[in-house]
Amino acid sequence: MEEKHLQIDASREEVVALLEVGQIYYLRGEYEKAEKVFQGGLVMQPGDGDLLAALGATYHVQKKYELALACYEAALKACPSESCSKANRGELLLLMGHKEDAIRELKATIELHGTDHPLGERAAALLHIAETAE
Amino acid sequence: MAKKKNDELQFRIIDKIVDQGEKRLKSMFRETLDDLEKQRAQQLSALQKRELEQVITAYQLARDLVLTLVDVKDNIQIRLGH
Repeated sequence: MEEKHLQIDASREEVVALLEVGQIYYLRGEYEKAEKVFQGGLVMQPGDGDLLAALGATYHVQKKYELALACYEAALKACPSESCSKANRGELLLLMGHKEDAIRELKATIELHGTDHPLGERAAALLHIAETAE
Repeated sequence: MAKKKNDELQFRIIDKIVDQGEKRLKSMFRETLDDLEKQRAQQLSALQKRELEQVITAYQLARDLVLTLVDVKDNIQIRLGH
Protein backbone atom coordinates (compact mmCIF):
# COMPACT_ATOMS: atom_id res chain seq x y z
CA MET A 1 0.00 0.00 0.00
CA GLU A 2 1.31 3.43 -0.94
CA GLU A 3 2.21 5.69 1.96
CA LYS A 4 -0.09 8.68 2.43
CA HIS A 5 1.35 12.04 1.40
CA LEU A 6 1.02 15.26 3.36
CA GLN A 7 -2.13 17.16 2.42
CA ILE A 8 -1.84 20.93 2.32
CA ASP A 9 -4.61 23.26 1.25
CA ALA A 10 -2.63 25.56 -0.98
CA SER A 11 -4.12 28.14 -3.28
CA ARG A 12 -2.80 28.57 -6.80
CA GLU A 13 -1.60 32.01 -5.71
CA GLU A 14 0.63 30.48 -3.05
CA VAL A 15 2.10 28.00 -5.49
CA VAL A 16 2.75 30.76 -8.03
CA ALA A 17 4.35 32.90 -5.32
CA LEU A 18 6.73 30.06 -4.43
CA LEU A 19 7.48 29.54 -8.11
CA GLU A 20 8.43 33.23 -8.42
CA VAL A 21 10.54 33.15 -5.26
CA GLY A 22 12.38 30.09 -6.58
CA GLN A 23 12.94 31.82 -9.91
CA ILE A 24 14.46 34.84 -8.16
CA TYR A 25 16.86 32.58 -6.23
CA TYR A 26 17.69 30.82 -9.50
CA LEU A 27 18.42 34.14 -11.24
CA ARG A 28 20.62 35.16 -8.30
CA GLY A 29 22.61 31.93 -8.77
CA GLU A 30 21.43 30.53 -5.43
CA TYR A 31 20.54 27.17 -6.90
CA GLU A 32 20.33 25.15 -3.69
CA LYS A 33 17.80 27.60 -2.29
CA ALA A 34 15.85 27.60 -5.55
CA GLU A 35 15.84 23.79 -5.46
CA LYS A 36 14.41 23.75 -1.92
CA VAL A 37 11.70 26.26 -2.78
CA PHE A 38 10.60 24.29 -5.84
CA GLN A 39 10.66 21.01 -3.89
CA GLY A 40 8.45 22.55 -1.19
CA GLY A 41 6.08 23.84 -3.84
CA LEU A 42 5.80 20.36 -5.31
CA VAL A 43 4.75 18.93 -1.95
CA MET A 44 1.91 21.46 -2.00
CA GLN A 45 1.04 20.92 -5.63
CA PRO A 46 2.32 17.49 -6.71
CA GLY A 47 2.86 17.09 -10.44
CA ASP A 48 2.68 20.82 -11.20
CA GLY A 49 4.22 21.23 -14.66
CA ASP A 50 5.69 24.69 -14.02
CA LEU A 51 7.35 23.68 -10.76
CA LEU A 52 8.71 20.48 -12.31
CA ALA A 53 10.14 22.42 -15.26
CA ALA A 54 11.76 24.93 -12.90
CA LEU A 55 13.14 22.23 -10.60
CA GLY A 56 14.49 20.41 -13.65
CA ALA A 57 16.32 23.54 -14.80
CA THR A 58 17.74 23.99 -11.29
CA TYR A 59 19.06 20.41 -11.20
CA HIS A 60 20.33 20.87 -14.76
CA VAL A 61 22.45 23.91 -13.92
CA GLN A 62 23.89 22.02 -10.92
CA LYS A 63 24.83 19.11 -13.22
CA LYS A 64 22.39 16.75 -11.49
CA TYR A 65 21.49 15.40 -14.90
CA GLU A 66 19.48 12.28 -14.01
CA LEU A 67 17.26 14.25 -11.62
CA ALA A 68 16.87 17.03 -14.19
CA LEU A 69 15.82 14.56 -16.86
CA ALA A 70 13.24 12.96 -14.54
CA CYS A 71 11.77 16.42 -13.84
CA TYR A 72 11.61 17.35 -17.53
CA GLU A 73 9.91 14.03 -18.32
CA ALA A 74 7.36 14.59 -15.54
CA ALA A 75 6.81 18.23 -16.61
CA LEU A 76 6.16 17.14 -20.18
CA LYS A 77 3.84 14.39 -19.00
CA ALA A 78 1.86 16.97 -17.00
CA CYS A 79 1.95 19.50 -19.81
CA PRO A 80 3.09 18.11 -23.21
CA SER A 81 3.37 21.61 -24.73
CA GLU A 82 5.79 22.86 -22.02
CA SER A 83 8.34 24.17 -24.50
CA CYS A 84 11.11 25.11 -22.04
CA SER A 85 11.29 21.56 -20.73
CA LYS A 86 11.33 20.24 -24.27
CA ALA A 87 14.25 22.46 -25.28
CA ASN A 88 16.09 21.81 -22.02
CA ARG A 89 15.61 18.07 -22.39
CA GLY A 90 17.20 18.30 -25.84
CA GLU A 91 20.22 20.07 -24.40
CA LEU A 92 20.42 17.64 -21.51
CA LEU A 93 20.27 14.58 -23.75
CA LEU A 94 23.15 16.04 -25.75
CA LEU A 95 25.15 16.61 -22.57
CA MET A 96 24.44 13.04 -21.49
CA GLY A 97 25.69 11.72 -24.82
CA HIS A 98 22.31 10.61 -26.22
CA LYS A 99 22.99 12.30 -29.53
CA GLU A 100 20.19 10.81 -31.66
CA ASP A 101 17.52 11.53 -29.06
CA ALA A 102 18.92 15.04 -28.59
CA ILE A 103 18.80 15.76 -32.33
CA ARG A 104 15.19 14.57 -32.51
CA GLU A 105 14.19 16.73 -29.53
CA LEU A 106 16.03 19.83 -30.79
CA LYS A 107 14.48 19.51 -34.24
CA ALA A 108 11.04 19.28 -32.62
CA THR A 109 11.76 22.48 -30.68
CA ILE A 110 12.84 24.31 -33.84
CA GLU A 111 9.75 23.05 -35.64
CA LEU A 112 7.55 24.30 -32.81
CA HIS A 113 9.08 27.78 -32.49
CA GLY A 114 11.14 28.58 -35.57
CA THR A 115 14.60 30.04 -35.17
CA ASP A 116 13.40 33.58 -34.44
CA HIS A 117 12.19 32.53 -31.00
CA PRO A 118 14.92 32.38 -28.29
CA LEU A 119 14.16 28.71 -27.57
CA GLY A 120 14.31 27.84 -31.27
CA GLU A 121 17.47 29.86 -31.73
CA ARG A 122 19.17 28.04 -28.85
CA ALA A 123 17.93 24.69 -30.16
CA ALA A 124 19.35 25.48 -33.61
CA ALA A 125 22.76 26.32 -32.12
CA LEU A 126 22.72 23.08 -30.10
CA LEU A 127 21.58 21.11 -33.13
CA HIS A 128 24.52 22.45 -35.08
CA ILE A 129 26.84 21.27 -32.29
CA ALA A 130 25.13 17.86 -32.15
CA GLU A 131 25.33 17.32 -35.89
CA THR A 132 28.93 18.41 -36.24
CA ALA A 133 30.27 16.75 -33.08
CA GLU A 134 32.27 13.58 -33.55
CA MET B 1 23.60 61.99 -12.21
CA ALA B 2 23.42 58.72 -14.16
CA LYS B 3 23.98 56.81 -10.92
CA LYS B 4 21.12 58.61 -9.24
CA LYS B 5 18.86 57.83 -12.20
CA ASN B 6 19.87 54.20 -12.01
CA ASP B 7 19.15 54.15 -8.27
CA GLU B 8 15.74 55.74 -8.87
CA LEU B 9 14.94 53.08 -11.43
CA GLN B 10 16.12 50.27 -9.15
CA PHE B 11 14.11 51.75 -6.32
CA ARG B 12 10.92 51.78 -8.39
CA ILE B 13 11.39 48.16 -9.45
CA ILE B 14 12.30 46.93 -5.98
CA ASP B 15 9.46 48.96 -4.48
CA LYS B 16 7.02 47.13 -6.72
CA ILE B 17 8.48 43.72 -5.88
CA VAL B 18 8.63 44.45 -2.17
CA ASP B 19 5.18 45.98 -2.06
CA GLN B 20 3.69 42.84 -3.58
CA GLY B 21 6.04 40.67 -1.55
CA GLU B 22 5.15 42.33 1.74
CA LYS B 23 1.46 41.93 1.08
CA ARG B 24 2.00 38.30 0.26
CA LEU B 25 4.24 37.88 3.28
CA LYS B 26 1.55 39.26 5.56
CA SER B 27 -1.42 37.51 4.02
CA MET B 28 0.20 34.26 3.04
CA PHE B 29 3.76 33.34 3.86
CA ARG B 30 3.72 34.25 7.54
CA GLU B 31 0.26 32.88 8.33
CA THR B 32 0.89 29.70 6.37
CA LEU B 33 4.26 29.27 8.03
CA ASP B 34 2.64 29.55 11.47
CA ASP B 35 0.03 26.96 10.49
CA LEU B 36 2.67 24.65 9.10
CA GLU B 37 4.80 24.91 12.21
CA LYS B 38 1.77 23.95 14.32
CA GLN B 39 1.43 20.79 12.23
CA ARG B 40 4.82 19.63 13.56
CA ALA B 41 3.02 18.64 16.76
CA GLN B 42 0.61 16.38 14.91
CA GLN B 43 0.89 12.64 14.42
CA LEU B 44 2.56 12.27 11.03
CA SER B 45 4.24 9.43 9.18
CA ALA B 46 7.96 9.70 8.36
CA LEU B 47 7.13 10.66 4.78
CA GLN B 48 4.66 13.32 5.87
CA LYS B 49 7.18 14.73 8.36
CA ARG B 50 9.81 14.96 5.62
CA GLU B 51 7.34 16.66 3.28
CA LEU B 52 6.24 19.08 6.01
CA GLU B 53 9.87 20.10 6.59
CA GLN B 54 10.29 20.65 2.83
CA VAL B 55 7.30 22.99 2.75
CA ILE B 56 8.42 24.85 5.89
CA THR B 57 11.91 25.32 4.38
CA ALA B 58 10.37 26.67 1.16
CA TYR B 59 8.26 29.16 3.12
CA GLN B 60 11.20 30.23 5.29
CA LEU B 61 13.25 30.88 2.14
CA ALA B 62 10.35 32.86 0.66
CA ARG B 63 10.10 34.96 3.82
CA ASP B 64 13.90 35.49 3.87
CA LEU B 65 13.89 36.67 0.27
CA VAL B 66 11.14 39.19 0.91
CA LEU B 67 12.97 40.51 3.97
CA THR B 68 16.19 40.82 1.96
CA LEU B 69 14.37 42.82 -0.68
CA VAL B 70 12.90 45.07 2.00
CA ASP B 71 16.47 45.76 3.24
CA VAL B 72 17.66 46.54 -0.29
CA LYS B 73 14.76 48.91 -0.74
CA ASP B 74 15.44 50.65 2.59
CA ASN B 75 19.15 51.11 1.75
CA ILE B 76 18.32 52.68 -1.59
CA GLN B 77 15.69 54.87 0.08
CA ILE B 78 18.33 56.15 2.54
CA ARG B 79 20.83 56.84 -0.26
CA LEU B 80 18.22 58.72 -2.27
CA GLY B 81 16.95 60.60 0.76
CA HIS B 82 13.38 59.36 0.32
